[in-house]
Amino acid sequence: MRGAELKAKKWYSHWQVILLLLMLLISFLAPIISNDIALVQICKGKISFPFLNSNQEYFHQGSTQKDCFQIHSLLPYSSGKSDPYNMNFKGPFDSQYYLNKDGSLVNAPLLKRHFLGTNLLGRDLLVDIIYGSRISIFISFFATLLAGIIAAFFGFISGWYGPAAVRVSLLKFGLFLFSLFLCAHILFNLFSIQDKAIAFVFSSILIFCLWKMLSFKGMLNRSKFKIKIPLDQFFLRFAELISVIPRIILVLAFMQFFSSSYLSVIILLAISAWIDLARMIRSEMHKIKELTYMEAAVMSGSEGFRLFYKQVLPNIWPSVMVFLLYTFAGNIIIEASLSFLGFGLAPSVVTLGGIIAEGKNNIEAWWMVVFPGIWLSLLIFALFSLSATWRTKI
Amino acid sequence: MKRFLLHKAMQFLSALFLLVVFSFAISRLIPGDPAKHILKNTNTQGKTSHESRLKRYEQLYRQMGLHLPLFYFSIESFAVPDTFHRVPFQEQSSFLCALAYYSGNPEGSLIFVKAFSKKNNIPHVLKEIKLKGLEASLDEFFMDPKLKLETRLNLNELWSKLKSESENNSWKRWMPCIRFNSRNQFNTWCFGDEFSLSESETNKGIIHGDFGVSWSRGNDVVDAVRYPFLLTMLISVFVLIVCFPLSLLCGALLTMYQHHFLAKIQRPILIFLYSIPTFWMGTALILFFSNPNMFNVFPSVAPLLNTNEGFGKWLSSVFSQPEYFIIPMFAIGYSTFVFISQMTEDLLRDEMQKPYVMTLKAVGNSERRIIFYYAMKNVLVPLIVAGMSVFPLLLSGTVIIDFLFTLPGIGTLIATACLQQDFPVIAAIIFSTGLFSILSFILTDILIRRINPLQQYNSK
Repeated sequence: MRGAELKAKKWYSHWQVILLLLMLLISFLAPIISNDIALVQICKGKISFPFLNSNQEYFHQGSTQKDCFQIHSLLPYSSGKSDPYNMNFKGPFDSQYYLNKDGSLVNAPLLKRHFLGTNLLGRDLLVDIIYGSRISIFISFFATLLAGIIAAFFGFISGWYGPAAVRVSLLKFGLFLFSLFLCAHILFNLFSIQDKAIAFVFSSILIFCLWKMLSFKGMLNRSKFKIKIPLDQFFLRFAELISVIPRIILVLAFMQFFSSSYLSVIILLAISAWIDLARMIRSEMHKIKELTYMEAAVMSGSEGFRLFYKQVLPNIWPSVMVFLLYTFAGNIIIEASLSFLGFGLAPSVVTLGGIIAEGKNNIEAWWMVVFPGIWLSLLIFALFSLSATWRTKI
Repeated sequence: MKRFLLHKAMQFLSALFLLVVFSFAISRLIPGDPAKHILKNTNTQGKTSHESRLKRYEQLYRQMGLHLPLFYFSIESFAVPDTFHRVPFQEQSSFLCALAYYSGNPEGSLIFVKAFSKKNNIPHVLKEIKLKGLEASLDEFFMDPKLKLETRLNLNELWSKLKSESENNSWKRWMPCIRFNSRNQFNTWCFGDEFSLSESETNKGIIHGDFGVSWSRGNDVVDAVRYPFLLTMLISVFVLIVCFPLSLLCGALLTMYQHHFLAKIQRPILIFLYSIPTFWMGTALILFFSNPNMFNVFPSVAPLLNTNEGFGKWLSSVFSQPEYFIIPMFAIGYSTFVFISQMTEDLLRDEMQKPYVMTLKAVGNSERRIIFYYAMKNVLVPLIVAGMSVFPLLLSGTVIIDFLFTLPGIGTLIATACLQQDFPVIAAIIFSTGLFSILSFILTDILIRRINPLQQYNSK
């Protein structure tokens, strides 16, 4: 018995992992699970996959429906397509109609029912939830990735230099300021009207020079006059500024400068989410900075990205992973809240928040509120509880 | 302690400065012309002559300080003089800047634009310039056969002169030029403008509590923001005050009965409660408790608050209709409750493993007394920090719930302001909520220093 207890649990023995994987699988296989076009079609020995290309001819030339064998998906409805026979909020238990092959309107058979009801335009709610959660996961995943990259950069730099101010020679700092000034000049003035190609080349050369100057160790560093730059303090003050403003207000205010495309929502979520992660990486860096293996790595000449990737990241990975899951769930919540308020993605895109907002405006259609909310809560629950179990293991 | 307070004051000032710069940037970094935006929204009554409208526009432009440069310093190309930004019509000034940048001759381009703007439509030409570039679009303009001969002769001469100059002056484009401005928009926004036109239209600056004029309504921003802000703060502070002791109690009870069979499944249940999004909780509560088909217990319409007769009447009108605030407060508060009670339980469980608890047990204290009297004291400091750090989170929830229940709070205000692109209101909201959070953080730091003797010892 003791041996069985000591044995490490396999990754799939956590029920949270199973739940999360199931939901991710359902979301990403959405076109296979629900589609109104046949998945596989075999006509006179030829196999084709019509759902991959909706513009393809449905039946091959010279073959009729009788010659063909078709495999349909589990839910015979697509996202964004309305069912004209079940418009005006048909509930999951209401009588639903289905157009038979011979053209008569009958009570829908079990497999053709809308299991969770329909909305005003007759769209299937279950299908909308699956597609909406796919978009939600897609956006939040990339936002989390972007936030992680930004946070790693700032957290590593500020944790590496620590509370002590960085001492830089005056000459180097002056050169740095001057090239920064030139970059600003290019950005604000030269990019405005013309000479775009020249400005691009010029600025990329300047940025390369900046990069080299920062990592240069020869003459420039030998100057007698040195000044102190409190990089860590700058980072902390900036982090305080971002964390002090409520996140939804920050996102709503920045939404005015962006369009409502996928990319802009991803960028918005990322720039409002990276602060906590960066603080965590900074404090972890403080812990491991003094350890022997870091000293050894620095002594053997490793620095910058290589040091972060080879030494720092593997050692702080568990806590970073917990935090990333947490950020992922938070991004899903903020994205849904944004589209619920009507400020997120374009209204033509089906999102979970958008469905709930529609249900809120038509209060008799309770299924429009209840089912998407349960799905959303389950998704966030899986992420949260996974991160909670991992946190206890650290 | 003195040194600590000084340190905190410096921290507060730096955070305040950053917040001011941030909200200023939010209010100014927008595409389009703010003065035109206001005129479009306020000038609805009937016919006004073109002349008077232009006059009003120019007046507004100066009153809002838009003729001034943006910040204390500006980096520009050497070819463009700083006086061009003072031209009160944004299209004209951007056309001027583009021409001066191209030719390197400010006087010549000023004469050209004056002659050009008499007969022609500048916005149309600007659009062309953005598409094709200055030289090509103006050349095309002069090739147009519909153009009158007189204007073509006049303008073409000027244009060819500018063109010939542009080749000699191209070095000016690449020369960066840094300019320091004593009078600028940021200074005016913060500290007010002493040189304004008349006393009635002075801009006092945010240091005197003047956030400017709302673009969509045309009234003072502070009047628009005051009561919504107070309501939101009232709700969130009240929720925090009620939630915090309750969640401490819940966490302590969970620790006390941790061997009970119900306590083994409480963790997933609490996490599930925590993972319900605030907006969905609010919607579901509306669906169940203010729905005529289910339980019609609470009203679903917004409360009418008395905002005309001062703060006291407003406060009494809030407290006289509590039924409007019960579900919103529950929807805002339950996630904070779950979060803090979970954290309390974690900390208390760790605390109960420590050796001093064993000693206390051996001496004969009951478990209840140990948890509530000894362990809770040691756990309280991180809990207070957590309780204050969820404050911005709580405000976020309040914004969504305000919007959902159409309470006259910040949520409804910022949603309408975002729809109408009313940037002074957005900036004021960001500034006020941020200031409140900063103050609460610093007060927490001071409070913890007072209640935790260890910290005082460490710093000595």
